[in-house]
Amino acid sequence: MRIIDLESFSELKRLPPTDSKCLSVCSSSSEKNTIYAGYSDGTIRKFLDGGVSKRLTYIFQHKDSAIWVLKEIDGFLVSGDSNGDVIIWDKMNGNAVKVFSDFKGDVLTLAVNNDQKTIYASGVDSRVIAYKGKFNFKFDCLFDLLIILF
Amino acid sequence: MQLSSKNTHKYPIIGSEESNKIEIGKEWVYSGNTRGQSHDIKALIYLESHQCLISGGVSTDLCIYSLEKYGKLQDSFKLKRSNKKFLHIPPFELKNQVEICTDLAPEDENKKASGWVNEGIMILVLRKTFSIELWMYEQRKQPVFLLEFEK
Repeated sequence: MRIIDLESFSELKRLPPTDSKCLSVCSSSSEKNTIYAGYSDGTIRKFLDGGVSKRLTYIFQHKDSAIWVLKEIDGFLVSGDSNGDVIIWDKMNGNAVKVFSDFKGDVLTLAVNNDQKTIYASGVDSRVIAYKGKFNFKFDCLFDLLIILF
Repeated sequence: MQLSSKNTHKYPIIGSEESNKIEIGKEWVYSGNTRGQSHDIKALIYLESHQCLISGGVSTDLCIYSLEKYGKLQDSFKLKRSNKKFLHIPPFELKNQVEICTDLAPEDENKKASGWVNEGIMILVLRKTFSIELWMYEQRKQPVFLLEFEK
């Protein structure tokens, strides 16, 4: 993976080569100088200032999947892979928050609407599926919130 | 395979540093689906200014999905007849770019039937992407621009 300056078209950095292919790249708007990349071995790797700082891996039956697409929405990382899964990752700790397995083919593309907090996914299946972020306050969280407010 | 062991809670504690970045108790749910294209979709864009989705792929045409309030995909059961769920943009113009307007040509029934008027004046209709132009064509003379209708 190479980082190129768009003004001068010069190569700024060349990241170390890996054994698997890099299929998707996503820059983080909330974190400075951070790049997330999806690989053909099913891993999502975080690059901070040109070096590999963290490796997020989904451990359940996704060894043979390829991460075709990566997007960032509202502090979460969304990936679409060759198993037809759309996975929402917690960027802070690398956990898969939600796994959607609605597609019958590869998920090749994602679009996000940050205002309405909606993810649109599509791919080989030729369907477009929308996933929506929904507030679901639990009573213990609500109680903590009330303590902070009053 | 490696997972961070710092925090494995689904919902972070309120007031902590992490809670400022992640919304508390947020759930992701299935909202709806639609099929606008017949083959693989390779690109999908959300257009914020028009509240729509545009997809493109193997079938070579662009498909525009109009969205409901809050970014929801249109439900086919609730769809009114006047509303279109999709709009397809073909990769090339399906209608003829140039047409001869025979009604305005000289009244010669035999020549009209043949579809081509050898003598006299012909009116040519030129279809463009955002306008329609009318040209008058007389044999052995330069065509004359008459009118332009903008869409």
